[in-house]
Amino acid sequence: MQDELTALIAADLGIKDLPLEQQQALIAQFGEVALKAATLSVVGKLAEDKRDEFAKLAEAGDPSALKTFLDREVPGHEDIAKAAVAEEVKRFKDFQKP
Amino acid sequence: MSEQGNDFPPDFKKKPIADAVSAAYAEALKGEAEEQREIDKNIKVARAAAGGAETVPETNPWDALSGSERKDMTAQFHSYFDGDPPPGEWKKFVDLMQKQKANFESGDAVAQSATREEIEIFMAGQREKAQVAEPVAETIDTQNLDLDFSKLEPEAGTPPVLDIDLSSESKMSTVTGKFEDTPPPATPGEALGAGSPEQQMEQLREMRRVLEGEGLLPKTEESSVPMQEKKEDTLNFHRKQLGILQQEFRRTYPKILDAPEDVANTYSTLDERMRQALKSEDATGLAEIETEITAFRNQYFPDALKMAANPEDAPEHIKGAEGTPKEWREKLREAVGKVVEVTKEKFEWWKSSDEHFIRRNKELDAQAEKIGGVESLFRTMGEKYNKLGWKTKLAVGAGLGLGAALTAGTGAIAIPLALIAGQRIAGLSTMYLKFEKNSHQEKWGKEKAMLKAGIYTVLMGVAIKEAIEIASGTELAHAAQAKVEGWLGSMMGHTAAPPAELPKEVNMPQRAPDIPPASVESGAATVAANEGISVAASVPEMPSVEASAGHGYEWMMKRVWEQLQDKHLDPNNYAEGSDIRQLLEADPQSIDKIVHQIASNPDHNFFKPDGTSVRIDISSHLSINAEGQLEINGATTAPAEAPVTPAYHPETPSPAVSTETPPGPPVGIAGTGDNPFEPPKPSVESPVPETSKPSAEVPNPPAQEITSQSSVEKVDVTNNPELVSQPHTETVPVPVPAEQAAVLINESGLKIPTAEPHLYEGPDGKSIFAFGGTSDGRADVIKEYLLKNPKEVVFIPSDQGNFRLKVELVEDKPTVTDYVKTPGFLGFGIDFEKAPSPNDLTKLIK
Repeated sequence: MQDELTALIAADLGIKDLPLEQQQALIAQFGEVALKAATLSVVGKLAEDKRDEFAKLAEAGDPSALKTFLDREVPGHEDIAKAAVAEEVKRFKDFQKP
Repeated sequence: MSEQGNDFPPDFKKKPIADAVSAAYAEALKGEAEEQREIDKNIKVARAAAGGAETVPETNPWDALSGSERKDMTAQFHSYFDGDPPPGEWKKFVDLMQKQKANFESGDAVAQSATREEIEIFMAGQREKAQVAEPVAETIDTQNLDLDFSKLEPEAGTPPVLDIDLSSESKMSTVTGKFEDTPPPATPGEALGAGSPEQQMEQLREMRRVLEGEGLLPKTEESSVPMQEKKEDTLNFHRKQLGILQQEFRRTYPKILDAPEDVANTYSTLDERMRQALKSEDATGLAEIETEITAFRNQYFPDALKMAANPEDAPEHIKGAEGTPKEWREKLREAVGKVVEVTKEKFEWWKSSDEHFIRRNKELDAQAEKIGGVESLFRTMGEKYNKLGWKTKLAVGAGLGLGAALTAGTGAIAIPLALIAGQRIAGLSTMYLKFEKNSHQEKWGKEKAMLKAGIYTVLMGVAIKEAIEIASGTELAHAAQAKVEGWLGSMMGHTAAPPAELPKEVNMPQRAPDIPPASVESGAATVAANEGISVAASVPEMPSVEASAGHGYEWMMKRVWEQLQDKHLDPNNYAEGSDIRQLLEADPQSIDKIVHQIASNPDHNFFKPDGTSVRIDISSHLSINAEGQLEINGATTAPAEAPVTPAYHPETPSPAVSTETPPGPPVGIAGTGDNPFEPPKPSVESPVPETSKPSAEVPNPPAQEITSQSSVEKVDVTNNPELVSQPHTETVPVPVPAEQAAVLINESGLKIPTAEPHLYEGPDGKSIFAFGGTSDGRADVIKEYLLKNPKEVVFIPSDQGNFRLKVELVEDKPTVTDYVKTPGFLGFGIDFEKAPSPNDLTKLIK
């Protein structure tokens, strides 16, 4: 399953022709970038005095609490996060273009 | 590759070494000989760094390998000229030897073989010349020349200088061996030294034929040279083949890291034998190991990079008249060139992609610093992420919908961020295991088929569902899955088919939220994940049952018992008195007693002596640990301070409860209050206390009325899972007592005649609710309304009165098309709307 999933993700990222190790490396890097980009986009909409609270909630490891917090503090965070990751997708695809 | 410098240590699978060597070999994708030299150095350094005590051969491969060979060859060369070789020939000899030295240092086996052949051809030519040439008049004491070629090593940028006079080189006749002022007319031997070694060989043969024809060469010498050539060609051929094979073989090294130990050991042995064979003069031995290496490669790495020359290109006497060493070498070089070119191109692309992400990551970090307040979080997140194993990263990626990159900030923020930043890495591992496990279950067959078709968004959705389950403990993630799949499909430009759980037929509502599917999770796998170890294939998969509203310990235990029936486990393999043994020994007649007995076991502390019982949270799961003991969320004993429910009720429904078992809401949704272990929560469908006459005006919940088969037919809810999945009882609509058939006044002051079916407007001014009366009555009202307003939607309560159903006109027939869901958060926390209550009604429509 691991290989199958990796292969499929690699295909969509356009890196399927690379050796497996390199595919994994890129997928892992992409994951980190996407995660950070989505997070940053939402955090950027947070009021400054709420960012510490956000960080603490994240570090507490409770997704539900984090979600509740964002619901309250960042209306529309869903679209914001979507747009951020979509931008990363686009950025990588643009990068792939010759 | 250096034949000595690349020895793999016997314990080369030792991880630090393996990783370091693997990294070095990744560099080998650059492919070219000069880069290989750098790689060899890296490998040596890596070994030294990783192995600590391991010694790295410091011997110069040239010195070690060819010390005696060089001396022998030098002596042989001198013997051709009685100790006085012509300076020009001596320089050629020195150049060849120096070239070979460089080949050994670079580890380029192909070049080594080629140069060796050149040397041998050169020597053969010298031998022939010596036989026809008179000793040269001008002599140099080359016998005593220092052949330590290290002294010939040029300074950077400085060409090597031989401390001998080469000025007369051009004047030497290759025919007479004498130095002449004017070159003699062209002869077959004149061009000797020019062209490729093969060309030289051909020239030599031609020259020999001329000389023989002129009687200058004795016939007795004739046969011995070809024989020697054949032998040497054979040896060289196999050396070349094996040299190439060695390179190819070692390129598979990174793959060995993941191979079973026996395969890795075989690899190591073959590599050592190959190295020894290349040093030998045994052509047969070379051919044998070549065959073994090829067989090994074909068996374990059939897709490995194939660089070896076509066997068809063997020397003439091996395969026939076709193909000369030159030809097959050219083919080989061409093939290798292509491989190197492609590999290099890929490597460069990968390298640039890698740099792209590194650059982008830094940009994001910089942005985080600029924004402020989250730098520490970002740094922590990055560090922890980088320490994750590949599978866990894959789980994060899957949660992100990687490949489509976000897939909904669902995972992008709430799940991975919280789990990573909060160091709940075990949760991610468990998520992956569940993900992997589900992929092998039959129920995912459809998704797997889609995967093979290249539509992976379904799987992404599944992964996200799993992620949400981990984080929120709700099976409702199925809804998020559907949402994400749609988004992924649009993002990636292909259509994502709906998951198996979400039927497309309009008359079939999506999976029943009231009835969560049995979620089976390997307890062993979970434990393993939490411990960060792999699950051994031999460990039997233990049942695991998720908590659901309305069900207690005994119900969960019975589900565990049911799952155990399929495991065919031998009770005798478990400790006497253990929970698993008791369950395995139970039969349908005794299971109720057994589960009660286990639940009452003070070791578990599930049930208290005072009749209370520890409350089961909705996200809990019951499983069996390695000792065969039941545990809730990994604990066999409930904490003393755990919240309790006021009383214990066995699973058997009480007489007061309808024979139609009310399905619990999906995990994560507030219970209905039926669960003795879950305190009733305020519900909008509870009798409204604000009514003017509470005792008289409390309406019967509508869902309690919509249970008749007739009403089902009218609104075509035969596929309603609430009905399909539950035993149907032909219940007659409960007559509304006269004293209750009054008018309810809700919070808005709206008068609601509860005994009469009506359509009302919802609080948003758009939604239309059917309320009051019997289900038959409401069905008639809905039908009439929808026939007049075919584009409208009417909402009704589900049969159990818990959730809100959508009724639309399908082929002139009012049809329940779906449960109504809440918006949720990027698919996270999606819930099902509760059934409309009187307080939701704002205006009478009909």
